Amino acid sequence: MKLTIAWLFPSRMDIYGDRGNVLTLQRRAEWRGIITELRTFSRGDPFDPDLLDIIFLGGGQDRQQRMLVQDLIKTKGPALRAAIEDGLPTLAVCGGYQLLGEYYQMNDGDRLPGVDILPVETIAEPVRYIGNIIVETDLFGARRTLVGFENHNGCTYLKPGARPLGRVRRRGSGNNGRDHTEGVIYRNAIGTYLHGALLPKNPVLADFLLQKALNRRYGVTELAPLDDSLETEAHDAALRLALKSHPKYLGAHLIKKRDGSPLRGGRDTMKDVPDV
Amino acid sequence: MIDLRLRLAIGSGRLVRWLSQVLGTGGGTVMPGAVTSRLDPQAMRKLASLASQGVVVVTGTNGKTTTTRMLTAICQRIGWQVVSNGAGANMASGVTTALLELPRLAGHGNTIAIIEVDEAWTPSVSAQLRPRRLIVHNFFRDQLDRYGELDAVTDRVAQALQALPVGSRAVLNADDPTVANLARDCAQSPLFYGIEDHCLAGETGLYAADATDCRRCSTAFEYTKRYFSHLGIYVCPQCGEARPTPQVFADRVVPCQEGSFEVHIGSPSAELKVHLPLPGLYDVYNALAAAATALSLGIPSQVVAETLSEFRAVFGRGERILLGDHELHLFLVKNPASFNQVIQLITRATSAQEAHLLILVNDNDADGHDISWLWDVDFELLSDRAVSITASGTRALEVALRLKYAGIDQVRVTIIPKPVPALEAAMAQLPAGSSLYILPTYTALLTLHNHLARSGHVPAFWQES
Repeated sequence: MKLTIAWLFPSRMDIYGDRGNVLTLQRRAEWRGIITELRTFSRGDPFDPDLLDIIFLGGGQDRQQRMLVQDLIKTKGPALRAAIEDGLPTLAVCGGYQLLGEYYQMNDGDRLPGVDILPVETIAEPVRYIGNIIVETDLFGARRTLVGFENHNGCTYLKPGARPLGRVRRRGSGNNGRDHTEGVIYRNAIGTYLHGALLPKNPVLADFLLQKALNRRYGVTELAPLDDSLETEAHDAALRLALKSHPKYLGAHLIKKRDGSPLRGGRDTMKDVPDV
Repeated sequence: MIDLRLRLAIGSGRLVRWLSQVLGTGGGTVMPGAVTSRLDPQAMRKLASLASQGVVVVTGTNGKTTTTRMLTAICQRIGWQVVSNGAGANMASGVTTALLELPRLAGHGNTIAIIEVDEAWTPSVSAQLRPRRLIVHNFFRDQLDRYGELDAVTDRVAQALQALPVGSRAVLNADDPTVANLARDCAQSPLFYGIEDHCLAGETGLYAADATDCRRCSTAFEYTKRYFSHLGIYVCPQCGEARPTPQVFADRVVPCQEGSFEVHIGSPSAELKVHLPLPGLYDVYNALAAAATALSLGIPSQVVAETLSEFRAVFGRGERILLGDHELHLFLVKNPASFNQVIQLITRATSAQEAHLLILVNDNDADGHDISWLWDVDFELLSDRAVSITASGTRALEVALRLKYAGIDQVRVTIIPKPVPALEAAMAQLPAGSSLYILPTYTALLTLHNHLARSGHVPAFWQES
């Protein structure tokens, strides 16, 4: 068996160790005797989702997102939408998550249209949500925790009926810091703010994508188990560190100071965010 | 002039420094300045104006400390009195602390302040210091959890350049497109430095650099030469924006045995031959920045070349420590760019199945809380080199996991979160006569250094000249 993994815009949408996500998908397939092929797609590259088994889209800066969104809508959008509707496993992190939604309204008021596949909309806010985050989800059988790091000033809102990836527990803000939801799942496509990288220490999510991909291409319903003791340890350690980390946000509101005073690292607590 | 208020503020600051050293609470590199500025908010500006040769500010992501130390050594060699925050305390309080030495030196010949400044602090600190030269060295992604995005950091440094006083000059790295682009924020034409050696091997890493788009038209730059990460010789195929021709350039860079470089530096006024006793290509950039600035201050090229050829590695930046029959090589790592450079260096210096490493990754305030950048480091290049790797620090398990996914056999990896026991365990595994490469993030470096200082192997960092 062989799986083809597509990484969209690797050189421009890769600021938070997103390579770790792709690497995890590859290794965990290979360790099960499945051949993987990684294909990268840049701006302007034609795109045929029929040849692809998993799509990954990482995070970028506002400038890169502005630059790529037209390509994403025009060159890749229609085919991507059809494929995701058909159940193509997709993972979109941070900026990629925002781009797959309906729109991203930037700080300057510009509304950047998204590909409008994931049922979410995003509005930039003057604060930045930065820090460790813990999410609880029931999507993968038993109740699971996901742990990662978030860094975004976009607040994402789910449209009516949309399912979140999970709910924020004790640390982090998730989609918008208000309704305690984090991410979205639509068909087999997942959008999320968690990086860190996300998949290495949350292998349940990696295996979800792999299993859906194998099922779609080969009708395989079961994944061979792997020795995940190190992954589990790393997940648990990250969880402990997240709980030990400052309960809210470090230096968050200072990022956007406009009066010319310096940005500062430090123990500054962001107001107005509910303690979950 | 030193007014009464400043006098009082300085006195209090010095008292705090004396107390912190007597009480052994650390180097006292930050608190004295904080106290001084509290008592006289104008202290930094007033103190800086006392330097007869003015102030040089060094900013950028990587290499600030080494560049600052190089320039300091050069100025000292011609007999100038230098104040500097060479211990790396590079936010406002650390800068003021360093300047506390100026009143004592003023009136005794030439004095100069050589100050490294955190990128985000550059506009506010530079407005106070009114530097004669402002070096912008490079921009890599680093501590995004503190700064948000790289573009935000670049914009802050641009503000500092726009506000430079008349007669001040920017010194910019021509090989970093984001830095070179800052020329348009400079009122006076900047001084550029860069590497122009077409024979020098480029980077073989897998890591995709992130600053490779033209700021003017968003097209990806085409590189005819890429030295490492996004540093190289580039041109925008769309709008023609190209690397500026550097006035000070290294046209021959030859890596030698024992981790050093033969560097030939050209400039409009002089040619320099330097035997740089440092192991990284980034050190060549550090030397170029220091040389370009020193030459522009009128320092003779002979002095520059001699100083750089005798330069000793700064605390934790390629520092070598002899311990029994082992040599420890300490390399501060703080982002993919610096980490990848060190990995390249290790692969050059060792043969297959020969390298012993100790990797320490903390996620404390000074390290950055987000360690996702570990996944952008090319650990894959170590898979045939490393015979033992000890993973340590608060994020030891993330390091071990990264190594597993890099294809490094888990039996070669030992996980010991506490730095000092990790060092001891890593040393215990070393075969006789072999070296240990120690790669710590900032706070882990401090822990190890304090440990080595207590056992008498290195001087305490604030005592280094």
